[in-house]
Amino acid sequence: MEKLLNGVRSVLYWISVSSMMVMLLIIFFQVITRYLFGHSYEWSEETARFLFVWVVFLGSALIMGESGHLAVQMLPEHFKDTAFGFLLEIFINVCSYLFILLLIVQGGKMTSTMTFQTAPGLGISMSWIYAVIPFSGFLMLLYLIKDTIRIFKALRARRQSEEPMKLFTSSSASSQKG
Amino acid sequence: MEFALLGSFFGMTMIGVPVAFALALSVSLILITSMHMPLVMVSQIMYSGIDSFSFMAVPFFMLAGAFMSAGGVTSRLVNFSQAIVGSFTGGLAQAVCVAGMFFAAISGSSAATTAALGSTMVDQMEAKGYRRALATGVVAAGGTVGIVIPPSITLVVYGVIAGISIGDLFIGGLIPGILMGVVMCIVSWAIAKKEKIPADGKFSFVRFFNTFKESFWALMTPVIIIGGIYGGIFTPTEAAAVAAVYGIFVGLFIYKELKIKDFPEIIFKAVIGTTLIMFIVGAAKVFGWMMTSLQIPHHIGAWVVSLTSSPIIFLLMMNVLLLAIGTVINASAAVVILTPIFLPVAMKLGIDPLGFGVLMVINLAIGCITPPVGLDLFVASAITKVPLERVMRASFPYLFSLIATLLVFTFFPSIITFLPNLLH
Repeated sequence: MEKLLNGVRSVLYWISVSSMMVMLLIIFFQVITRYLFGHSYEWSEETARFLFVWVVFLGSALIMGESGHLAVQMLPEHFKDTAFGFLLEIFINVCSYLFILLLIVQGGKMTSTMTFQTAPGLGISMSWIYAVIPFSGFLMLLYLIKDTIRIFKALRARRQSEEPMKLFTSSSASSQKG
Repeated sequence: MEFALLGSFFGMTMIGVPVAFALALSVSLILITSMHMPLVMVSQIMYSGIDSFSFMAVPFFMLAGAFMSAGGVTSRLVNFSQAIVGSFTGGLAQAVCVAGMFFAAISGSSAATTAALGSTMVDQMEAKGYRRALATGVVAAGGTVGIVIPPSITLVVYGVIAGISIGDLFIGGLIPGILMGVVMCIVSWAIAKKEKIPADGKFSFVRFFNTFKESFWALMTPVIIIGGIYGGIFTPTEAAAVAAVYGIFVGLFIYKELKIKDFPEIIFKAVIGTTLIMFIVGAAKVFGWMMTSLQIPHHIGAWVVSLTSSPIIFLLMMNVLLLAIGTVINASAAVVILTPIFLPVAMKLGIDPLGFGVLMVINLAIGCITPPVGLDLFVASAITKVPLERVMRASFPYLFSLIATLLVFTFFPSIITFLPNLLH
């Protein structure tokens, strides 16, 4: 699992970094050609836009292995290492599975039904572009499975440790109960 | 249905489900339970929300800021700021505020500005007699103008969603951003006066001129961006791309501090930063679509109008709400989610959409240093290892005076709209 994710990360890393650079150069040269030759090519803006979509979706998988998607961390941080905290983490995990399922299934539908639609500038099927949605969903699934394993490992380690796990407070001095 | 949508979204978000996931899931919930529409709408609208030429300004402005700071721009801007205000009482703290304004004119985000200032300035300030907590508080506050002074990623996001010219928004953010910086300089002066911190040397014209010459190329960036957009030479997205390439050029060939081998890491940071915002933008488009179908902005508008017909009262209510939201969530994400709800209300009350947008961004920027969870406070505290509570206490004077400035903008919105109107 670890090895697979490392491989995935380095492939995604290079694809997204080089796409970003190509995107930048395309738009920069579009400005230049417009001033030198008075026109710009239809394919250039379209290509840059498609690369942008790809970067965002691939990045959404990559980000799960870095800092994670933007979330309000207050409650999970506050109840860290308590029974309630683990419950929260599992709930967040389940929600993430549902979202990823949505991306894979509905993105897959888009990819398979839009084969007739072609991009006006590039002339390729839009399926190639939409495919990034289920593809990134699948990659996000890999990261999420790793996260699930981490939660359950931590839970097991916590239950085997000497100190009993509190329901709401992580400090041993407190006597609060739900 | 309205309550199910809003309730499930806010519930999931507060529990800690990633914002983008919560947006898409709450819409799916409504689609499955009570509407006869296929779920594929969710992925389709999400895709169309991201696939936009205007939004490509977001990654390009991030690249521009990242290349500039890696290319040795930060230290030159700091030197120049010190040459300008260093000779006043509390000069070093004021220099942080001025450098924050300059850096804001190059990068488009607050956290980037805070991070760039924090690593260079705090040790220097401590050596000159400032308490470390105070120095950290100043750095956190100095970063807030990052998203107000153009270019600003948050203003780009607002402009695309509200359908307002990004160029006009940039110009609108200019005067409020500078005023915020000036107010922070005055606060620094007062604090230094009270704590008897001496000025940092005498004003030297030679030093001023030399540091200006050194930082000239960096200072040209905002001129290219704003001049280019307003001169009709390029669109905001193209301006951002030109600024990024310019940043590469300056870093490689003029300052010679940028190295090709660092490029992947610099670009990768921009990839992550872009994804963080754009993924939420896509999901928020789905959420906005559902809100419009359920006529939620209309209902909220009617409710607000039944409470008050005064735009000032409405704006004051918005101030409180946005300050609170700005503490827990990234400003661009907040703009994406809140604009479709509140812009129609504001327009119903006769508030100028441009002024409303800039005011919203200022609000969220101040939220970044509002306790207990302001994001910039965390960034600054992480850099300098000063405990969060002490950073908060040190930045309190800045927070209060910025809120006072915000109130002035709320009562006199023409401070924001005057310049864009003048240029039309």
